[in-house]
Amino acid sequence: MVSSQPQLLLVHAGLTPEAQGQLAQSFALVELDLRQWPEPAQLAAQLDLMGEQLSHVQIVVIAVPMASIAAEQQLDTLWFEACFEQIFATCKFAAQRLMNLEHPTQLVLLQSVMGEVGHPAAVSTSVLAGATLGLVKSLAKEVARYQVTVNAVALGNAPSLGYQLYLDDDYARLFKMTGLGSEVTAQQVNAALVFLQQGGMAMTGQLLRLDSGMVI
Amino acid sequence: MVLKDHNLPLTGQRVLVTGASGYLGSHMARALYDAGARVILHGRNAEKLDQVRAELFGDVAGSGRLICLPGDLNSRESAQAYLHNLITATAVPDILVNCMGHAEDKPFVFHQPGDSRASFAANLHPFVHISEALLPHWQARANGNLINMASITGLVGQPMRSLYGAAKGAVIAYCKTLARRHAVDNIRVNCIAPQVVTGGLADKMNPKIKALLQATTPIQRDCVAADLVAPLLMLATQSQGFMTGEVVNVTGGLITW
Repeated sequence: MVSSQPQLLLVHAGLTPEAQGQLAQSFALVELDLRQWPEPAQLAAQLDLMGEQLSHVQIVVIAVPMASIAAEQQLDTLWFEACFEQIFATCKFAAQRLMNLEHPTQLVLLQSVMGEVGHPAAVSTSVLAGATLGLVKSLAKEVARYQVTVNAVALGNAPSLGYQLYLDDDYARLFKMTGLGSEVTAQQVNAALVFLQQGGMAMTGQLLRLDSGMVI
Repeated sequence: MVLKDHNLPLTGQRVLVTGASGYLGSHMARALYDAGARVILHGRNAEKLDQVRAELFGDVAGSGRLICLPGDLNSRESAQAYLHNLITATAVPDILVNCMGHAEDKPFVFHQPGDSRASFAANLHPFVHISEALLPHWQARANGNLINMASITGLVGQPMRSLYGAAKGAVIAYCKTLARRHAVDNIRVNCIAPQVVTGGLADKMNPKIKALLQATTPIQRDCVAADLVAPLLMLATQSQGFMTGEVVNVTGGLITW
């Protein structure tokens, strides 16, 4: 039986149960844990296996991983390349599948706001999120004619989703400028995804910031 | 009016230009030279670098302000070794201008596993490695200026260049990270994001996309290397300036946001 809720494929590498629980309230959730399929070929095979299960998918959400929040001074090139390769392979599969559907569909990358603003002590996460943001923009232009939108949701400090910011002095100052508090909740992220799924068809290639006003 | 060398804005400054064997890098190097800098030309291919020296610097070959130093920056170790050789040959550069880059037009659905690694190996990692090698020297003397030639593709994307866009997005994020971390060390880190440059990567573009780009550019002409000289010199001469972590768009009005 097909659920009346829109089907959402969630691709992640450790999104918290709380976040998944929130999404399950608004979407029929199909989950794929990237940690189980570390090689792109394995991942592609698994996605193929899930083909039938995904026939009604309307929105694919890829949660871009974060590196450790401990301060790091150098780019971890191996981690960065491995993560990006997985994300790219998933985007490719998802977009190919979405392009063939006859209804408007959405591809959303959930990632850290650090990709846009940089973080002095989180090089790998910042660079990965910067790369995926660049990818979102190009993909959006390439698949728009197939009624597939591609957007990014940039999270500020969202510890309940596993997107905890390393709050050094620099970032702490940014939060002090606004009065919204520093934490983004799973409910707020869920609301953003509902918006993108229901009302965002004219919106593609965009970065929707859920960052408590950190970047204005 | 002919300016004497000591009146030029970059007199006394040593500038390392990476990717100087490419079209954009070589022209930026010449502009920096003409502004009075001592220029170190870097490229992976020694023959191409010699060709650039002959073609673009033939008239000033004996001036003593030009060094050609080819080398591999593909690993942390090779970048350290390259910088060691450079310092032995001259001194620590005051400014790094990164012009390394490579783009390939390909629909994203045709990309194979491994393509992304190749894109990052061309556009991101060598820049990261040479920056990491240089920064401790700049921290020690509390002064440095890093200018990265990014691309509008990293900011607004481009069909058929998804991996190039990702790599340039990564480079921009890396620069912002360095800018925040090293502001306290009196080190500036900024990017220039040009539209595709005629003679450079524009010539390798899908003709349909290139035509679309041209048709939608408010200043109705192609972007040429000379368009980037003024912003480059502005950033190169502001070693004590207040500008860091910025991306300067040079897009003929294509991006106004």
